[in-house]
Amino acid sequence: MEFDLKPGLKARLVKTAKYEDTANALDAGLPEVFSTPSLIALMEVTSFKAVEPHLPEGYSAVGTIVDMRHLSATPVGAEVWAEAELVAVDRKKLTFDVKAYDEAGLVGTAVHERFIVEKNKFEDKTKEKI
Amino acid sequence: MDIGLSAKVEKTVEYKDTAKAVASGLAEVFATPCMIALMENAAYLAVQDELSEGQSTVGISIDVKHMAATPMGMKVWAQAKLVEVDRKKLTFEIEAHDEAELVGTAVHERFIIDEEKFIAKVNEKAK
Repeated sequence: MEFDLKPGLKARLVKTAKYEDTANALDAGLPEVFSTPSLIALMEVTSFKAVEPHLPEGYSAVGTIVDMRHLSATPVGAEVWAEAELVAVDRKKLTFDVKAYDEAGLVGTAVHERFIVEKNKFEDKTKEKI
Repeated sequence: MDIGLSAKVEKTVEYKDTAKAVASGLAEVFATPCMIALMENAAYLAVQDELSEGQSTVGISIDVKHMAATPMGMKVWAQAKLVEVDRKKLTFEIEAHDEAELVGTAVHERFIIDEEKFIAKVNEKAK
């Protein structure tokens, strides 16, 4: 299977930080700011959206590596957005540069890798673990 | 804060934890962001009891590899160990396993904060 994916594909996703996205919602001892896992989820989804329209029917791309810096905290109610760009394609391995911002500036950066999988085969193989 | 502090957090993978539900992919397997949340929680818990009243820790960086997928219904756990302390910066090594194998590894940094001060500063951004 050949994939028609070229560096330069981009996506941007915006969300408003809600209480459920805060570190405090994960554990009462953590502060009420947009959590690192929530920021990573936004970064991963944005990366996936950059390539999703270009994947053949039945294919998906799963996260394999995230190398991420969370530089600044975002309060509840603020808008936060991620911008992902596909920067390298090595057969089924896709590398993305991702930046995240809130209304005050840059809040996170990441280099992220995803791997193209045949969705049904991948799920079946995973279920064999049970 | 002693090197070697550790904690383990376990959960069973539910539909809401899958890449399909989180929309970070379409596959109905444990999502990378959810594995990362479990890893961070283990790191946080490893040191939380050692902190003074009013202090907490926040994640500042994570370098994670997700090597194997975990199906719904399977148990998955993260084990975090404090490996370095540089004043307020804490470095953890974390491994995640499911019932079949090692599924992820991470090096994760957290920073000790004064919770009230931190929140006050963050809320200034909203003004």
